[in-house]
Amino acid sequence: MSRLPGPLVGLLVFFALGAAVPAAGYEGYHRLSEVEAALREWAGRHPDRMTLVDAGTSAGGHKLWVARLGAGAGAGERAAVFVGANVAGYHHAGTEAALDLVRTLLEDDAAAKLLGSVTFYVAPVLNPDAHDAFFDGVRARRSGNAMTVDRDRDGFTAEDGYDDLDGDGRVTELRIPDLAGEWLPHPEEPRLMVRRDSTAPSGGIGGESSAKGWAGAYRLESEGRDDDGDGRYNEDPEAGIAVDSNFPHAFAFPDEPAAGPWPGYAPEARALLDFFFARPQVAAAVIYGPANNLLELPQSLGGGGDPGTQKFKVPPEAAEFLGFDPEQEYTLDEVWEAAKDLPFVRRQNLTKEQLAQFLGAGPATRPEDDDQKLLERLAKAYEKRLEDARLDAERPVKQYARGGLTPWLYYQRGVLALELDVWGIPKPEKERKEGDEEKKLTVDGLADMSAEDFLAFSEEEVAAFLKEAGVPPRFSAAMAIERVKAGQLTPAQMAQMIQTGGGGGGDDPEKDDPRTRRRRDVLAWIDAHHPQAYAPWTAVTLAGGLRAEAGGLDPFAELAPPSAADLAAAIRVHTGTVLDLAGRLARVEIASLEAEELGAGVYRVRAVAVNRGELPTHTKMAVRSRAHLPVRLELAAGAELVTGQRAVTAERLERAGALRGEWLVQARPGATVTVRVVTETAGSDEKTLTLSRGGSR
Amino acid sequence: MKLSRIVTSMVLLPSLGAAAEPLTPAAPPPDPPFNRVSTYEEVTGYLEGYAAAYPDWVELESIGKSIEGRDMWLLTLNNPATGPDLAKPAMYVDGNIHANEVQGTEAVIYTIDFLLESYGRLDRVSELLDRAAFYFVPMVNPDGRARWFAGPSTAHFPRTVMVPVDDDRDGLRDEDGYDDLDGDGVITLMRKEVPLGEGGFRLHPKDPRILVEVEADELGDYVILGPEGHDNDGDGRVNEDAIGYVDPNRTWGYDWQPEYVQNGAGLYPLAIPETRSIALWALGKPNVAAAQSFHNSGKMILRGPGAKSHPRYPRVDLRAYDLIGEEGVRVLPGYRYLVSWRDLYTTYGATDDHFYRVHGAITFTNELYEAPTDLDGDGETSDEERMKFNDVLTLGRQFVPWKELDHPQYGKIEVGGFRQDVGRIPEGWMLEEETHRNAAFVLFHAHHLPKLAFGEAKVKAVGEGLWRLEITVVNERAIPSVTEWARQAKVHRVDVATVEGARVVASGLVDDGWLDRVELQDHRPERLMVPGVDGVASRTLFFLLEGKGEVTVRYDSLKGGKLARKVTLR
Repeated sequence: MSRLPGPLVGLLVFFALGAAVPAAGYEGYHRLSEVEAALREWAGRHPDRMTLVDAGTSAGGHKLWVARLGAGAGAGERAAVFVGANVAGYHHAGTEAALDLVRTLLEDDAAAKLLGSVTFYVAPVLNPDAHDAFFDGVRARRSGNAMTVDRDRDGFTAEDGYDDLDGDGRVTELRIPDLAGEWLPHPEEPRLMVRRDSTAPSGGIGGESSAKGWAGAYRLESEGRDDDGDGRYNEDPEAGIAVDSNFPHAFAFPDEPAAGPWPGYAPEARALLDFFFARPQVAAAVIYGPANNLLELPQSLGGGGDPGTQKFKVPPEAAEFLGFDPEQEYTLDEVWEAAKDLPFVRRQNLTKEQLAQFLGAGPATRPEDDDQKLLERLAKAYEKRLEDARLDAERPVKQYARGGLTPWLYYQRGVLALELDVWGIPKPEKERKEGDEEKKLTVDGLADMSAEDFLAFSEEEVAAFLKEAGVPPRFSAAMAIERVKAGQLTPAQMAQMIQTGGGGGGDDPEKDDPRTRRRRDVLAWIDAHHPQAYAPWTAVTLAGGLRAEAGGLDPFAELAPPSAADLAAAIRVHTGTVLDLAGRLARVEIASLEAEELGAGVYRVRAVAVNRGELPTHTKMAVRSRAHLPVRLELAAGAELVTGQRAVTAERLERAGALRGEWLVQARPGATVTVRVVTETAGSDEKTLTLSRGGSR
Repeated sequence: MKLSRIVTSMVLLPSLGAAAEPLTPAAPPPDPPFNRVSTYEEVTGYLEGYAAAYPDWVELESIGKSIEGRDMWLLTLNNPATGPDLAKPAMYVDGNIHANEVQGTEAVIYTIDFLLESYGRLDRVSELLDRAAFYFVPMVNPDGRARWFAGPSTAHFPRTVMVPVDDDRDGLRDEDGYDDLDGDGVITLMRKEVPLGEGGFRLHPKDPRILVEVEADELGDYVILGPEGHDNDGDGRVNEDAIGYVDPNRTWGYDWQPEYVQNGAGLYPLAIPETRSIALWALGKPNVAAAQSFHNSGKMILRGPGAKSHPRYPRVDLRAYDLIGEEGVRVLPGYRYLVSWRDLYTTYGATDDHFYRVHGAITFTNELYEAPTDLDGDGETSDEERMKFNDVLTLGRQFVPWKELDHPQYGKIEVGGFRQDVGRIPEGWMLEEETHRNAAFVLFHAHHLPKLAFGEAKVKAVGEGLWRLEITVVNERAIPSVTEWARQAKVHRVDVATVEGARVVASGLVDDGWLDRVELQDHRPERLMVPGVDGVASRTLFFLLEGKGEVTVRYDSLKGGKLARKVTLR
């Protein structure tokens, strides 16, 4: 990579020196060195229950520490839960929650009991190079590690980063007066900048709207200078590969330069990939990060042909061969019904999944139906916990992004993986619904509705609502339902479409769209609870004497409350959620083992293995992706088989699901036979039986 | 802008100076055979030999270790007198990514040998080596090559890298592979005579070496039991978990997809050291504008996209692809120029997609050889023809006669069939022609590496000490200096033009010089970002300069080399 031209280096050095005015704001959060010290101390104090696993090294040379908590010698073989925090780099509430989990597992007696049956892997900081950007220097969100990326592809690396123009120690926003600018102060809340379209009558620029005067318009940038003079602001900051964008599912190349050239390029991501492949026992994972998959269930990340849940076209050659119309779309089930008895499918012993692969159908893009139902169950329990703790279970939340750790864990590793954001700014009390009040089908209601809430309405109800809202009939209720079901449209997006499309309330220029309303709620909360997190617009001068103002929300205002102590209630809920999940993991055992003598020293041995846990041994996605070994019930070496194989397998055992084995064994009375059930994600069990005349139980 | 206008008005190129002389080796150069395939150790010896014989031109480095610890050899060929490799357009050539596709290595070695031997003797080679650099990885899968040679192996096995994988998902890795039952070093087929009615085959009436599938109204008395092996792990299946399987040509970074989308993908992109070493090395070689990967078999010149879901190739890039691919069809008899996903099958994470999408290099995959056993020319090869080729042309070398032995599960069986080097690899007397033609295809591809030169420069005074400079950059060859894909997807920086010796007041690209249509760059005029020069096309740059006297115009292209031209403002 080329170097910066001399004058630019000078500028950067100047600002680095001039910047260090500490911003008011955040207390009690743990920086990297403190997290490491805490982990070391715990590991030293509880060597019987906790060991520190060195999972790898970041680009900047920091260790990726994972605390392994489990009692006794078999801890490495038991079913395990993984909890990882701050892979995003700017999610410090998660780190606090992860530390609390370790503390609870070591110090709370009830929780500690779990350590005999489940092993926990807890990693409080998975993106150590970015973690301390919250604490040091000019405060800005950082997602990248210490690698270098030429984000704007101009031949220079990290030559145009943020600058703290108003000297308040953090990067907020910059508004530059610009007649062609897209942004205006909100008419009622002038601290807030809104896109001119969102407050303007339809039509935007020109005509009558000009009369209202766009002279007050601004261009909006993040706070900083155009250091490299290319007309763009802060487009190439000093931050490398975004670790939480560097995993293989729905990887965002080439759209997002910070995602890196390929998945697993960042050493942190690669170390984690290796970590999970070396620990197939991990059955469930909770990632503490910016998204929340329980307040809003995961949506499609796009890409792929996904035959799992969507229709797809059969390639022409195969269509002819299978008797399908190449122009029509089919579900995988339809194709499988037609194909499963074909000689070539039977000869090759093809599974439905292999057929999908053969047809070039691409990767999964939505959770499998059974897994989705499981998430719905977990979501109910989670919301109840939040409500019991008097925390808001309705606040708007984010979805995980392409190339993230969480979607990789689910889609490719088959792990029951959730991302939880731990904390977020609540909705104003007055706007929250009562616990069991029905969700209403209104434009406002739609804006906050989850997909499954929407899908609970009948087609007639949706049709009536769409008519009421003034939606043109070409967008039918059936279409709306189908698109929400397919993950192509969220209820919130529909609400926005209705508003901007001239339907329900959109004609009122003073009416805020849902996003603006949320931003006003956030600002109101900040005023009441964390006033230092808003920086008033302050005049600054840019190169060439250009006047502008810096101001707006602190970059962490929506991610962390002013004091880590304010997280206590939320953290308790999340630690409780993890412990609850761990208590529900699948656990196989041999429920029965019996033998019957058929004559002449030949016995029929029968065994039944059962899943005693509440969760299935494998997610449906694990079955589809063949990410884990099947459940295996086998007759141990030693007994002599009359015929047949030693092992039977099942791809998945649901709650109380059973796997039966039957063997014909030749043995003398008094001999023993041992049967074992082996899994990766649900433990193992073994039973031995002594054979006697007639039979044994 | 049309090239013709400039060609008629300007001398295109500066002379290359002194005529190229053949290279004088510092030590006797290696003399690899091209009528047989060579082992990993032999190939290592040839590479070391080239480095010793031509120390100024050839650099041999190990860019990593294979899974079993063998060196990943990379040979750089560059004429030091005309500048460092990174300052020139370059081509990357590899072979033998699949363990069994061994003669790809011979095609790479032949290319190296031919280039070194022909410099100073053939003008076209001298011209190429004076302006371009080459990178060669003759053995992408060193362990696989070693294993295939050491055997026992077949024409199709092993294909993998040597990473153990639990193919049958029973908790054990590679525990039930092929077994050389008769100990002859070759894995052939097992067949068994069974009571009439229990088999699907019968003996060929004239040639009992051949089994014939029974007709609809016939009973059979033979079964084919697959390649030699037994049920090593007692699970009732034979050969179901052999070494691997990870297909290294499904492990590259661009749109890699996991095992359930395609077999052999491995755990994650570039998880194996073989392809990862190359991918990491390639990040440091932004000058690679062309790439070639040698496989076998089927006589194909393949290009991406590997999957229907991938973006289509843009028009500008297709022009280069089609020119080179279609010429390939003419010089490689019987070869077809095909699109991977459409004409062959879907692949994710293949070499050609990676080099095109991540690096913006025009890349082909050649599938070498197709057995010329269709003796009667009816478009199909029968077993009888295959046997006749064996008997008459190879005097029986190819076929191992059936031999009876006792099998632990099947009882009395026969073992026999074609050797591992039959079907996908030419006989020795055909190998040299195959490697030469493919090397020639590589050199045709390399001939079309972008070749940039300054064309006409026009200077006009527009005021006191203020000058308007228009200068044209011509690309004589078919590959763009920035592929359209790279510029659309922004996978690397575009070309950059600067002027030294005067202040750049404004700069831009001339859209139409006669009509004075210039597209100005809004910011940073001193660093004009140029979206490349397309294949056999030109691009005219515009500068408004403040100053006087001599200035230097520089053009810096990652893949098209670097140019400088002095211009006097007057």
